[in-house]
Amino acid sequence: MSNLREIQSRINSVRDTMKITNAMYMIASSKLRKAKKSLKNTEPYFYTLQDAIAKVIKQIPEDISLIYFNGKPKAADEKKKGYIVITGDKGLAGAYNHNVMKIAEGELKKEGDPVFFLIGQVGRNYFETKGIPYDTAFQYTVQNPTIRRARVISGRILQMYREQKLDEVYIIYTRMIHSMECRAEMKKLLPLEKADFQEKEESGGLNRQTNYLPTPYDVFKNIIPNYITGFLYGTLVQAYSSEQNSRMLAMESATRNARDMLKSLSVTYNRVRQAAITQEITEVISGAKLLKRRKS
Amino acid sequence: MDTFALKIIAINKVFYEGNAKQLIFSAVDGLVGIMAHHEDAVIAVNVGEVKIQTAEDRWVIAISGAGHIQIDRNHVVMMVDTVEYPEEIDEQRALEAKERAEEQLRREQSLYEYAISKACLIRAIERLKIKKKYSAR
Repeated sequence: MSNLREIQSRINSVRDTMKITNAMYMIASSKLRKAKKSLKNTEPYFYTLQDAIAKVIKQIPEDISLIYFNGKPKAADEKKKGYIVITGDKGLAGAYNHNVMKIAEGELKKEGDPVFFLIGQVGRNYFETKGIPYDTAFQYTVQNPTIRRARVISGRILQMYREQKLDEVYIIYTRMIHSMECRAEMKKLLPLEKADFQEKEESGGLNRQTNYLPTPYDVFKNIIPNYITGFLYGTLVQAYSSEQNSRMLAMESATRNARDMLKSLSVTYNRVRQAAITQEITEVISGAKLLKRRKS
Repeated sequence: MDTFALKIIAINKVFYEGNAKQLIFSAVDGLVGIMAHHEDAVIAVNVGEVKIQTAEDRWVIAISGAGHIQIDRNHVVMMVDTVEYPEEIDEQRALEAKERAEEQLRREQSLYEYAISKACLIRAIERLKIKKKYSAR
C-alpha cells in the first residue's frame, strides 16, 4: 500500500484540478446564458428574411436570381467546393471539436479539390498537424461572435463565389437542438436552394404590381448578402452556444469525477493511516510484553 | 393621419414593432419617405439615418445598416443588418474605425479589400454624422 504522504499529495492535486474544472464550469455556464440570449434574438430576423426572400424570388427575373440559386451547370466532379468549418478555440469541451472534424474529414476524402475556411484554433491546429492545406487568409476566432465578423466572412465568401473561385459553399458547425443536445451538422450555404424558401401559407404572397426600387437587381443585391450574413451570424452564435454547452457538461462531469475520486482517496488515506496506527500499537504492545516477560 | 404597421428587424434584435405615421430612410438613390397606404414595393436600403414618426407623434431616430424594406398592403417590414440609436453609437469607436478605414484605403490593396474598406468608411462617417447631429441638442 502506498504511503501516507503519496496519498496526501494525490488528494491535493485532485482537489486543485477540481477547483479549476469547477471554475471553468461556472464560466462556461455564464457565457452560455449570454450566448443563448443572442441566439434567441437572431431568430425573428432569420425567419422574416427567409419569408421575405420566398416572396421576392417569385417575381425576380430568372437571370438575376440564377447566379445565387441554381449555380452554374457543371459536372459534379468539376465543381469547386468550399467548406467553412467552425470549431472551438480550445479543447476541454468533450466531443465538441471531434464531431465537427469527423464531418470535415469525411468531406476531405471525397473527390475534388476542396477549399477549407477554418474558424477556431482547434481546427487550424488539426489541419496543420495533418499537413492539409487551408485558406490561411481566413483568420477569425469564434469567441463572442459579432455581426461585423459575420459581415466580413460573408463578404469574402460571396466575392469568391461571384468570381467563380467557388461553386458550392458548405458550412460545418454544431447546432444546438436543446440545452442537453448539440449535433454537428453540415449545411449548404451557396448556391441557395429554392426549396428552403417556402412561403408561409397565410402570407399570401406579394401583389403583382409590386415595384422594385430602384431596380430588382439592386434589391436582390442587397438582400442576398444580408441573408448570408444573417445565416453566418446565426451559425456562429449556434456554434458558440454549443461549445459553451459542451464545455459546461464536460466540466460538470469532470468535477463530479474528481469528487468521487476524492471520496475514494480519502477512504484509502484513512485506511492506510489506521493501518499505520494499528501497526505502531502492535509494536509497542509486543515490545512491552517482551520486557514484562523478561522481568519476571 | 392614418397609420401603418411597421416592423424593423436587425440581425440581433427586433428594433421597432408597432404603428407609425411616417418612416424616412435612405435608399440606394436618396431619401425615401413612406406614409400610410403607400403602394406595394420592395426597396433596397442603404446605410444611413432612419426616422420614424410613431402613432403618438413621437420621432424615433436611428441609424441603419444595409438591407431592404417590403411594403405589402400597409404592412411595412424593414430588414437590415444593424440598427442603433444615436446614443448607442460610441463616437470614439466610430472615429477610430473611420481613421482605420481611411488608412487602409490609402494603402494599395486588392479590389475586394478596397470595397470592404470603403464600406467601413461609409458606415463610420454615417455614424459620426448622426451622432453629431443629435448629441448637439
